[in-house]
Amino acid sequence: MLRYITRRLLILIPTLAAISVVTFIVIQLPPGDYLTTRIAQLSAQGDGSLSAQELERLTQRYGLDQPVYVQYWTWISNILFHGDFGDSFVYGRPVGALLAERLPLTILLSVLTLLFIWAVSFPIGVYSAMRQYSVGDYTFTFFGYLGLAVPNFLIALVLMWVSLQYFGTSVGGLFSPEYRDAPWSMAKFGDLLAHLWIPVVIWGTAGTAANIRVLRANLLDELRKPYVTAARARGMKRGLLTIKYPVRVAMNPFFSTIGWILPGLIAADAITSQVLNLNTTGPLLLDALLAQDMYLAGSVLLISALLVVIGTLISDLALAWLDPRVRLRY
Amino acid sequence: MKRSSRNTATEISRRHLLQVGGGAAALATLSLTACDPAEGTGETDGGQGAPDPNRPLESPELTERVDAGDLPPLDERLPVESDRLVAATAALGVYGGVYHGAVADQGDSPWLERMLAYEPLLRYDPNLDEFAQPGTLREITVNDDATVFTLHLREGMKWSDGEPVTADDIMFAVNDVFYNTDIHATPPGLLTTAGEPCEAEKVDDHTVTLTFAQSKGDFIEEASRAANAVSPNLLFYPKHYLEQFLPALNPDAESVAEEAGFGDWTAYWQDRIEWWNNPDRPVLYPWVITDPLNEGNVVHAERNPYYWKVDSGGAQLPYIDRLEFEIIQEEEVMLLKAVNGELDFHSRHFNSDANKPVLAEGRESGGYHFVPVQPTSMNRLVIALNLNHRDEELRGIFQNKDFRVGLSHAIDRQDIIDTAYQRQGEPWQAAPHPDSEFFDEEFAKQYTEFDLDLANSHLDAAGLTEKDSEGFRLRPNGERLRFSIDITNLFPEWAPAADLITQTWAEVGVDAQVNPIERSLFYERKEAAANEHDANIWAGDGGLKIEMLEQRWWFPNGGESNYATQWAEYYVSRGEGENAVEPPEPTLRQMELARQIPLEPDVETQKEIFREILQIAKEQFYVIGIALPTAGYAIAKDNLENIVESFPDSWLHMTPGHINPPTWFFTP
Repeated sequence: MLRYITRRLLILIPTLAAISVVTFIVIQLPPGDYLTTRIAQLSAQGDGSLSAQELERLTQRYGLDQPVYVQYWTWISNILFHGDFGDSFVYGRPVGALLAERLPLTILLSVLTLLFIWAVSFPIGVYSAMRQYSVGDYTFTFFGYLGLAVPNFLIALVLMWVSLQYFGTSVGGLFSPEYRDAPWSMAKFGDLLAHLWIPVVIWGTAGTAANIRVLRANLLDELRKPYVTAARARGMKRGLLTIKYPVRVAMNPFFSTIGWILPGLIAADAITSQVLNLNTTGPLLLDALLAQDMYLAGSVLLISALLVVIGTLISDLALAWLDPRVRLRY
Repeated sequence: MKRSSRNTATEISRRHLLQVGGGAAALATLSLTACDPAEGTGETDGGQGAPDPNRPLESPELTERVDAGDLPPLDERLPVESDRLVAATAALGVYGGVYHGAVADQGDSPWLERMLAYEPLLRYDPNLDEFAQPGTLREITVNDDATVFTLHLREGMKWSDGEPVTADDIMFAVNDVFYNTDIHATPPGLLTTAGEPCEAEKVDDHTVTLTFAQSKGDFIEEASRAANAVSPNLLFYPKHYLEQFLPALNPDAESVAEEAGFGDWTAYWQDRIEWWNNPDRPVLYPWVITDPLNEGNVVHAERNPYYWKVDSGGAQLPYIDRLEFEIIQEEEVMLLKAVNGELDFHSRHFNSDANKPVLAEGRESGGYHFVPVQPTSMNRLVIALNLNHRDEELRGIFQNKDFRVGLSHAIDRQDIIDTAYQRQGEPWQAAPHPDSEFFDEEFAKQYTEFDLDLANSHLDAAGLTEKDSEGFRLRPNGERLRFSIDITNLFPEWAPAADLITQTWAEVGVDAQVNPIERSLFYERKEAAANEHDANIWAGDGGLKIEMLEQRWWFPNGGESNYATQWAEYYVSRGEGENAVEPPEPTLRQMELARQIPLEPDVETQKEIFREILQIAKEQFYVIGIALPTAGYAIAKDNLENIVESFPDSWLHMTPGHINPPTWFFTP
């Protein structure tokens, strides 16, 4: 077991090295660089433009005149030797500080969404399998697919409009203006809940559909197996039996996707977060990519990649623990 | 599709009472109690009536701080009485309130600059008709031949940290900042004449003279608007704070920068001067930043206790206590907030024609109204064929005036106005606006008539008589004449308009393809160094109030002259540039004239020279215009007072800076 984990961790190193190179190149692929993007933005909003000399000075300041491999080395060597992810051009602040500012909320939202998805999809999945082709099964399935099919950002806009029109809640962000800087209180907590349900429901609707279908299909396979029939024949109660054996087996997919939760914490649905104006890491990444802010974008993607790799490892271990039929070979 | 409703801003009396409707959006609207006369709000129109003698002359917040001993009394914070800037206000305001606004993202710092940092040396009036009005300087006096300018500071004026503003600050800005080649490779245009930098001399603590080698006819005008972080604003740099970051004045500057985590001192300098990200930096603005743009998701600014302007009743400005700008990256979200009445004043991001109906509908429940905004642009859309095209044959065709005239006649402008612009506007070339003093009807209307026969005859005259089997004209080399028009998504109307244009062009045998691209790529392609575009589309910047300042469409004067960026480089670099191409005689003549303007002390003479530039532009017919833009709009809450009835919009003057946000106040 230990050997297995060590080996997996060693594979991590070349994987991440490759990922870092590829992300850096991909970020640099679009024409222009951070400064040309900035100039285009300024002139489009009619804010004048930078003079040629100003431009030259900034180009040197950001090291944008150096070849790509030099820029890459500067970035990666600082990370490796100093733990320094560099400064964001856009924010003029260290990438580390920017991420630290936004991570707590990002993690809170991701965890809540995950719990929401599980709490909704699990019972529905079991119900749909036990009552296959019933009215309830079809109804849930219909709504599940609807949630899966409609783009998240669209649901976000519709929900925001609804909450504005019918509840008079101020849209965007997680607090109304009057509570934004207020100390924590019951009222502020209530205000948070009034805003929090929107993102949770949006991501929830999309995530539940897939989970319901997977659980339903697995459970249907499992319920028809001889051991279930045998146990029933021995007089075991149906509910208890289902939960104890078939459901446990059908849960495999839940565990094998744990690995995807971690990176989701960082780069969760950027577009929706952007629409909802959440102060999470998603919009940060989106912004950075649009502005070709390569140190910020590269660092976020690199951390995401690291989390994917680690998450996958955790998934495998969890699965091994859950399902004795899974063997970790090395 | 709901059509845009008629603009009813004029029908809303600016002083109309807040109707407190029950069940309106659950906003923190103030329930309107009768104004308590004892509070002495002293609302007077035009400052005519005598203000209440008990009217407070400073914000109660500040009085508290003075009483607690944290702050010197008002008289010591303001300049000496004769040197205070008395701002003209429609009404004497009341202290208090929080302004709620929005800012898009990190790149949107100019919006903050426009809202709270418009403090040039001198000022334009709100309508942008007159310049040389008092600003951060009391006045600038000038000798007869416009070579010596005397800058008079305000005695007793203070930076926001309470330190005095003196001649040293200007000397510092000129000698240590603008003449510092590490920061500015070449001195800014404001301080040079014919390439020669001027000499600054400190006369006393409140007087500085600038001596130029030749006449500097545009000095006063530029000094009346240069206010943002990249412009030559001589009172932008507080010496007592910033000197520590310059190696010339502080030997440790390099190590200070390194300690702060910056590669070198220039980077740290740049970081420190950006006041929207650096709350430590003293400023001369009505409000000072407390929560910067690059942290958290709200920008806060508080009143500057040392602000040096008063109203006609002698009360210190600004009236509003605090500004809050929520960082909202999504325009749709901003729009929703505006409809919900959460933005007190806004004239950017979402104020488009397309959003007008939605905003119009929300006016009553949101408690806001429209303020008409006069565009300073003269065209919705200008088609620029690349007269410096890398392909010699195409270059020849594009440079042929008959070809451009033919294309212009092959555009059904009225149809474009009717379909893409809700029937708003009139056919117009890239020529000054009808309200401009330089308006020339012939220039504006030439070749705007939609006439395919006429178009064909011009195109034939351009020598494009051969056609292929599909009826498209052939180039001299026998290939079909094809080119693409780069467009961006800056205005959603551009794409449908461009499609209509290429459709009618196809009818006269010209095969043009619309090429929608991302904005930075658009810029990459049109740079003089790349010069990859065939043709492109942009708005007709300049043409009203700023005709002489924004000359991009009159002759190739810089990177924004999309029709000839290489000729423009010739002008900018005086023929020295790597990608400079010498333009033909008439264009050279324009450049010569443009160089003359600033050397003329007399404004009327300057205008005469400028008229000649326009005359050549008219004959040259560099670019093809489509339609005159109609008025835009800003939104303002009904309880926000002292907002002008309407205003022009110009980035050069940092709109809405020139309409005096420090004089705005909320109805108590």
